[in-house]
Amino acid sequence: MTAMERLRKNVKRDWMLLLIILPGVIYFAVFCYGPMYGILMAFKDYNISKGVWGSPWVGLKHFKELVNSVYFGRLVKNTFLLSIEQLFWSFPIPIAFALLINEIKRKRFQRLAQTAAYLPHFVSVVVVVGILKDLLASDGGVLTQLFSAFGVAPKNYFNLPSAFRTLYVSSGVWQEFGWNSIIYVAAISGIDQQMYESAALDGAGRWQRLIHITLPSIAPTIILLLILNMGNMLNIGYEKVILMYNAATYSTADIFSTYVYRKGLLNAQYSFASAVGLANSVINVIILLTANFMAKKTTDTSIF
Amino acid sequence: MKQKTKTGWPDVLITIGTIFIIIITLYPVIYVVSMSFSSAEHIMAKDVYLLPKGFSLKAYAMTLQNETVVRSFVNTLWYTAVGTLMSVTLTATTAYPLARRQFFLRKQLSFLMTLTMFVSGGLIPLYVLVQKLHLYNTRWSIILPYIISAYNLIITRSFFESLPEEMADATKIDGGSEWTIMTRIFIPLSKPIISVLVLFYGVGYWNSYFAPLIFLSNEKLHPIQLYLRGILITSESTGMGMDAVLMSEQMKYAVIVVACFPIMVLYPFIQKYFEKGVLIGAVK
Repeated sequence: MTAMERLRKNVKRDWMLLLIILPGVIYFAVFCYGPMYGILMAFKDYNISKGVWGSPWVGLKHFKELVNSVYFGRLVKNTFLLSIEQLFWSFPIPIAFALLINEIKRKRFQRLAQTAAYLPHFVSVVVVVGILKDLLASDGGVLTQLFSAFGVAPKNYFNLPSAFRTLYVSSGVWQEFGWNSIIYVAAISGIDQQMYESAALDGAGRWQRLIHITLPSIAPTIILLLILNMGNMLNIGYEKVILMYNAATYSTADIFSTYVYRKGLLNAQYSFASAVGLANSVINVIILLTANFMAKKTTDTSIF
Repeated sequence: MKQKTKTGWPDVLITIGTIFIIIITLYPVIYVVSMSFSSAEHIMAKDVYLLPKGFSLKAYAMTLQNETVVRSFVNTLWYTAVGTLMSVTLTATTAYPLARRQFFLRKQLSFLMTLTMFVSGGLIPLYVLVQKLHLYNTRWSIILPYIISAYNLIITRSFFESLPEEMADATKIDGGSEWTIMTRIFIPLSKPIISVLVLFYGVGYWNSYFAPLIFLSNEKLHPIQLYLRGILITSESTGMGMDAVLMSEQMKYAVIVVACFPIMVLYPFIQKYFEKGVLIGAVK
């Protein structure tokens, strides 16, 4: 049977499945693969009237411009520092919270804590940043008042480059620690209770059971999520950065993706901004593959 | 045998720690709600800490009479309702063939669709595309480009794969088409996953601000999140002078409450679904 005949036979059998999936295929082709074709812009001088294909090739011009730009060092530094600080706090805290929740004996209190902790996940990022701004307002925000009770003079934290990363990461932890703990809570509830019982018979205390049973049992989940988090490390929520930063804090707050936004959408330098975006994605994929490789080598867990 | 040990000092520490976490989590929410019910002088003096002071509904009256707020709210309702309906339908119809073992393009299409979680064209090419398709400044610009999320597609496919195939085969033998199998057998059994999809997409559309910011310059089409951005972040007040500043200060908290209200009201009912949703995703 030739390939052509086989295809005809398959299509004849599955024509209705093809029809059902067609709108979805069109979506992915147009809105996911279409922009990938648009990346060609990064190697051209894009001109709206000529379109992506008709615009002249310029090779690596935009990448050279990026690397030679005075902002390049700052962008690399800010992007990495913000990502690392974010990972450093937002990764372990949900694990700690899940372990804490698990130690609560009264189920209703446990449930209450979980219900409270998941809530901020559903609040929009605009509202989170808005409330944070309000609490920290230099003219009588509640946190400012609290700080001044401890003798800290009121400051305009949103204009302070040194405060940016702390504000960004802590509000992110506030919003997502509960949500991110769900998966660990489930992993802990799947642990065989008999292990705890026999450990208790052998005289293992609460702390020892936590260290020697609970943690090793959820280790695969932790590693898997660590790899996924590292792969997404540089995809920092720039939507939130855009809400939080201003010209006064660019020195710590401006990252690759916000630079893409300003250059591309506010200054309409489409080609240059696409090149910046592409550089960011390439670094991202390299980090993901490295994290995956290291995890495979050291722990035999990997996502590919 | 459940350990029935007596309550010792570790339990006391655990309880105190948990209460502390609950306070930190809920305080900002309580604060905003209390501010929204307080009178203007207390809002300006910022001396509300826990419960409303000088109870007043004026901020809500102003909010509900403000044309821009009402219009933005209605826009958000529209985007959420239409977007969620379309997204859930398309995600289910795209996941279904991918879950059918006989489908000859199953592997290839699954791979190409999953890949979009890790690689994308980026912001600028998408923006240029939306303009090319003449979607810019239309209501569709903030729905169509995001209509299927690859993550939601994968959890839906996993769910469908977990349904018994024999029923589908039996229908097939009785002469039922794939369409019949999908609508009569798979969809009725899919309540859990459909609730999860409605929740994830619904919250996503309700809270989205970035797509409207870049794709909608026409203020008449703006959703409530963009209005909130205006008064909370960029501090654009609706008019000039002290009166306008006072008004937006007072309205601010009420608008936040109104914008979060639908999700907060549904929250207790959806909790069991979203826990399930996260876990379906984790199996993959």
